[in-house]
Amino acid sequence: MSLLEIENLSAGYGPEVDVLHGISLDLNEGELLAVVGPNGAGKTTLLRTVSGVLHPSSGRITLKEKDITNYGPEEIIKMGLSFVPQDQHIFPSLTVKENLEMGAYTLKGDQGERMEEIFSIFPQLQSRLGQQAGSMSGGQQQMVAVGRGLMIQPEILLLDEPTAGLQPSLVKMMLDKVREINKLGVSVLLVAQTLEALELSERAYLLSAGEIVLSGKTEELIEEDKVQDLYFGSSRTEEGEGR
Amino acid sequence: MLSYLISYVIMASTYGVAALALNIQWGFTGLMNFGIGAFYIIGAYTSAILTTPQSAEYVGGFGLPFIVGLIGAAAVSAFVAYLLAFPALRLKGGFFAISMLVISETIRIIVKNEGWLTNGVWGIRGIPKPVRAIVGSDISEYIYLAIALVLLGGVYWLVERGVRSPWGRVLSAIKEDSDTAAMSGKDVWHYKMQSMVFGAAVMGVAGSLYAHYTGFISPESFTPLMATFIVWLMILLGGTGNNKGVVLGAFVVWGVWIGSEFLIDFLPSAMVTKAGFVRMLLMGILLDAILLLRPQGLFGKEKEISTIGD
Amino acid sequence: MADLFVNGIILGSIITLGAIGVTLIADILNFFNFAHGDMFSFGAYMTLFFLGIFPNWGTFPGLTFGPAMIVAALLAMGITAAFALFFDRILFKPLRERGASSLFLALSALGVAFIFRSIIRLVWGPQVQYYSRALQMAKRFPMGITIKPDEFFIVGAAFFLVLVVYLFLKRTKMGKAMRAASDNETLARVTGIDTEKVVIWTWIIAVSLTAAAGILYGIEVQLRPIMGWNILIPIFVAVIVGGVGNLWGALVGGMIIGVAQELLTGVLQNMFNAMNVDVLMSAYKPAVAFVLMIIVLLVRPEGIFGTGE
Repeated sequence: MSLLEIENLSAGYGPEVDVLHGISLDLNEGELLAVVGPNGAGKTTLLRTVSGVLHPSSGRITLKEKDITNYGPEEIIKMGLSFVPQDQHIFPSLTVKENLEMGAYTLKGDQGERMEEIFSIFPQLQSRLGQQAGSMSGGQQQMVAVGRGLMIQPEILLLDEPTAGLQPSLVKMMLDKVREINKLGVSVLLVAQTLEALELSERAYLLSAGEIVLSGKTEELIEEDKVQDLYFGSSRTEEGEGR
Repeated sequence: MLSYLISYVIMASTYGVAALALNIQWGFTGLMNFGIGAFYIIGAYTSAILTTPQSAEYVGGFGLPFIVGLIGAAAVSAFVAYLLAFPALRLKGGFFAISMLVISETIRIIVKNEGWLTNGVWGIRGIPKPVRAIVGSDISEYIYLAIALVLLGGVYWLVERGVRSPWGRVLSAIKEDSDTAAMSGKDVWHYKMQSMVFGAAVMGVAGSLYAHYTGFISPESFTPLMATFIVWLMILLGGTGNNKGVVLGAFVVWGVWIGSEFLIDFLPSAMVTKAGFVRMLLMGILLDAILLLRPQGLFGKEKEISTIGD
Repeated sequence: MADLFVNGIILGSIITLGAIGVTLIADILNFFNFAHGDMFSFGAYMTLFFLGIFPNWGTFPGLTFGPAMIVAALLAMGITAAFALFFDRILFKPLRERGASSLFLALSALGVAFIFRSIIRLVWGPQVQYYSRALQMAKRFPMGITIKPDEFFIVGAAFFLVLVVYLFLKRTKMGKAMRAASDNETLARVTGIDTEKVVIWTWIIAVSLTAAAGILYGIEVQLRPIMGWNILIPIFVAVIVGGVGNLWGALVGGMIIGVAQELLTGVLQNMFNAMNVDVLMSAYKPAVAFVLMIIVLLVRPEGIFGTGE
């Protein structure tokens, strides 16, 4: 039984305006799974639905063999699933320390120990604890966002394009951190924007126009035309549905 | 009995005109005017000042006929609305609502304090009913009833025409989504201004109707409850955006008001003053009940645009 | 002039307490609470009620009230907050869940305002009331400033309450959760913050403060059923001038409006008197606040501390 199972999920932002149509996907324990696809395919919608922010219109989501389809985000995080959105991912008027504290909101007691663990992954945060998160650079905010997501020691981490908007030098650093986090035992569902991000994973899904179009081992998927199109332009396919 | 009925119909018609005014601004254009009472007061006092005989206590004494008072009321209210449109309409939703509330209160303060203009707290007496001098007070009451109904009908017709015209459709688009309407090239501000001016003019007419009926006005006649809040209750009950509905809402709410007055008369006198505030309590509860249970009112559209206005 | 300034500070601190509540509610609950003024009144009148049933425990040295006032005030603040929570449960929450716009919520708050006001009128009647008939000698200070001992307490109490709220928001877990929810509600839910609890605490803090403001006003001036409605306008203006959703803005805005109202009406009054024009400027204080608001909205619509999010 997989850790996270999504069966035939449809979801969207209004009545009869579904963005996802019958998605099925599973995440195994310890895996680093990538979801790729063109803009507007529904990758963010998928993460928002799994994390409980959006309610699905049909289908089922099972976490650790429990049906969480209609759970709200407050309940899902208590089950060990943590979501780091792509933007609006920090509390700008709170300090770094306070952002991290909010990450551990559902836990009791002092989180000093946990914060030390976060610092071992993101040492740059330690010196900036009192700084207002909104005044930090994009890369630093990203670290705060991911750090916040890790505070509850999640079993599953949903990461939406963690390298978006980062300078190239920081992209590699962030991806190394994602690998590090996975090696620590956290199962990761990564919405991957870049080829390097995709290559972190062993398995991947290609999402397009709200449907799973391809799935399988990453090293095989990368060879597929449709996936190549995402990163290298659409000159090589006949039915150029990519970008 | 008959005189109670006449009184009821005249006052309900007056408020019917007021409800149509608010319907233009909020029901059709989405302007949440929490201070529409301002134009009611302005209309009433303008009409009073224009038509009352000479007095040492305040400016006035023009002694002009009722019709001049009526037109003057509409004109002055419209003009004030026009001036206010410049600052006020640039404000969004909640800010506009607050501003109109403040304006309305400020106007009440002016009326209360500038005795040279309005005779302050002593009010203006002797506002004439048309033709009363000729036919005596009883018949003039019937004539006034006719006038009130004719005005209500006339305003209703005018507003219906306006709303079903291309102009009205633009207002409707603005209420649905101000941004989209702006993008399609319409000068949103101008339409809002026209709606505000039109609504103010109609409200001024209502004020004039009120003043000439009661014959005496003072700042106390125009509390936020009686000049603004009760009109909101009427259009919400009747169904915003529906002209027939809001007029009916006016008649129903006023009926409840008058009806409760009847019941109050049976109470021991010690409780009579309090009873007025039981009515205020009921009005507040009724407003919230409507918003909660039936926001589209009796006759409004099922798809009540409760998300409009932001 | 200096005395007007000091009076402005005293009234400003009362306005500030109201403004903090309005700005919190506008930020976290997303609407302008038109019932805030009548909750102000209700707090004052509930205190009157409790003072009426408590035995006489004497007064503090130099002040017109004693321990009974403190106990009565705390009880009144609690009860007013409880009423607000009641209205949230039966009215605002269902409307919120239905997706009602902030204007609809504001309109419903207007209904609640009339409910509070009519209850006050029915129970206590129209006459002006006082907590204490004792007259106080004002102490004289340089520059023509006079301050009554009660007024020191009022400003002190206001700042004390502001400090308590500040510490609550800055140091406690719920306070941080409230600030987080105000920054980004969706993310707050994602981190597991119970937004319903945040709503409850928002009401508790906002309404307790406004009830306290009403009590302080009652000590300074008097109690009248319309007292809260009259102060609603300066409170809204203070919030807008300071920047909606910003607590520093509420503090600074409140003080600015308080001082501006006193100073401007005082100065204009002197001017009109000298010109032999008969105008009662003190009645126009709300108008002064309003003009300030319009200026701010035209020049810097997000307010002094606002970020224009």
